[in-house]
Amino acid sequence: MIFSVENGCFSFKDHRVLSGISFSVSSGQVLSVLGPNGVGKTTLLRCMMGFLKWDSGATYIDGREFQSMRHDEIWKKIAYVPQSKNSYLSFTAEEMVLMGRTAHLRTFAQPTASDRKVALASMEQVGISRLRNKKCNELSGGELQMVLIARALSAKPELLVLDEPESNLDFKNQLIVLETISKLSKESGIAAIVNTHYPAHALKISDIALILTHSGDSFHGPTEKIVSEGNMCDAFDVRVLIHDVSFEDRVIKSVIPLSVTQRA
Amino acid sequence: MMTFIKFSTLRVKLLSSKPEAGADLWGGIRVTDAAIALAPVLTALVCIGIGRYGVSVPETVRALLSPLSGEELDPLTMSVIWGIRLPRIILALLVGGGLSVAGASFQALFSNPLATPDTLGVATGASFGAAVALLFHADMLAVQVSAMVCGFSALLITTSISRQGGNNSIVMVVLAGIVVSAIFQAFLSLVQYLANPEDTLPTITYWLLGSMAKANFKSLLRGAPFILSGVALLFSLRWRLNVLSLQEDEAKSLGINVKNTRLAVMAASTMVTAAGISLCGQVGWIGLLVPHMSRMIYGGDNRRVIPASICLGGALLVLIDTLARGATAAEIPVSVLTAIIGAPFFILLLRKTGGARL
Repeated sequence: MIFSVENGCFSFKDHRVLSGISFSVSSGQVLSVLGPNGVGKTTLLRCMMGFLKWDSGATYIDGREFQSMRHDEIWKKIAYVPQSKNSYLSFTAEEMVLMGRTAHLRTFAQPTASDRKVALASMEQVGISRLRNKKCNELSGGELQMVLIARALSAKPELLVLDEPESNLDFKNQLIVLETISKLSKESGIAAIVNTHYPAHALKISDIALILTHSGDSFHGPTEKIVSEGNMCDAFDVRVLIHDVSFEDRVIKSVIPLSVTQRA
Repeated sequence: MMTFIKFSTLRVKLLSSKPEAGADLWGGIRVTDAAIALAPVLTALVCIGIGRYGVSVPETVRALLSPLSGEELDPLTMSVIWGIRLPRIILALLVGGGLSVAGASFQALFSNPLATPDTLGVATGASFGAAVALLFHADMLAVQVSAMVCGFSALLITTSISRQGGNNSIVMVVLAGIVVSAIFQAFLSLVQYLANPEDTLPTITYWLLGSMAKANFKSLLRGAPFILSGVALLFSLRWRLNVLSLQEDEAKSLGINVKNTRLAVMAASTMVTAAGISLCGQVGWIGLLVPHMSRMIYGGDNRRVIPASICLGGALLVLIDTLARGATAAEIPVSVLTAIIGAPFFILLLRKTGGARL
């Protein structure tokens, strides 16, 4: 499948948040969206999924305009993983994951045994079967994030949209989340759009990158080209050193922040 | 009285049996499920015989089955069971189950453990609507419709006041509900002030206190369809209620039409509440107490909370109403009893479990 945004523009009151955003992602590709706090990364996700209306421009799935598609049609193809806030919901992890099947159910229908099978399989896939009977409000941030990813997977989507899936997580859980995304795109051919704060994470998992800046400019292209010292400086006002590290037989790119640049 | 004690020990046992998290919904029927499903029927069978004129359970069953079996029974027994107590018990079952399921649905809709017909202002709005209709000597159907329209308006006002940036915060919903309740309460007082002290005022006042005493099959026929269809709609939307209790974007991303589903749930819950209020006045506490009991037993999943609320609510109100008519020589208003019993019981539940979260 090909998911694309063409010339998307969005303003919040008088403030132009997004202008002329265009990109496309196809099966098995990972796109990361980078940018400083408050630049509109989450707004971009909400616009492209129709939670907010583009002022101009549009979102397309396989060439069909988003607006012309039915709810359940869209959400059988796309699944959204929101930022995991530990809310006061006391659903068990299994119940939460099962909710991912809703787009496949008729209005008055209840999930069946086969829906449950799919839900359990997606928990298995991301390695959280042991959490089945735990309540969501008793899970750690990392566990809840994996539950939300499993919920998204149980919709059997072709595209995953993740909003800062690795923020608020510790070291190990960040790696688990990132590796899960990589694995899903490589092995299952699922496309992914990931918001992230971390340039290094973009380099690690994504094929293409989109950088949003406060000036309204955006850069878009292959991650290795886009996540460059110059662009980082433009977008984040941070001088960075991007550096290749050899480890065993791989070359790993690391991003080392050096100093904050003050520009007029 | 004995049955009440017996029933509450059963309840306590149910509550203390630890909710097996994630126990199979697809697996066999568990003891708790069976007990809850049978509670309304058993309670009704026992309670129908309790009162000034006592009837034993086997005799009650025979009396209830007599139209089928053709058995000749004491005419007094028949008239007490069929003419007086049966409509009253059915009314209590309907209203108790209805208010509970409306409460459970509101809680899921607002993902707010404090959202109930009472706290959202729906109950007061509906009471005002019904009182206005009573003021004009309107018939039962008009009372129902007027209660529904005003109840729904109250709900819309509450939600629009509390809505901030697309989300209803728990505190704002409750505050808005208090404000809306206060306004409709004032209007309600105005209606009472304007009512004729010779005829409409006593009717309105007595009805407001909540009483099942006037239950008969004719009024049941007017109200029951609204309650039953509302409950049926909420019951069939129980899976969607789970999804609705998530954040709005999340719910949308799971493929449901959030706006329409919300409206359907709001309309159905209001319809059930308003129809209940039109039939027997404002019966408080049930809509808060029973969903919490159900959640403490079953956790957050509305696939079980909704049916459990229907059954437990029906059974509980039958018990309370039996107490209202049987405990003393004169009848105690139901709403007084639900508060006297409900409030301390609610505190007990909260202290014991730390409150069921949504």
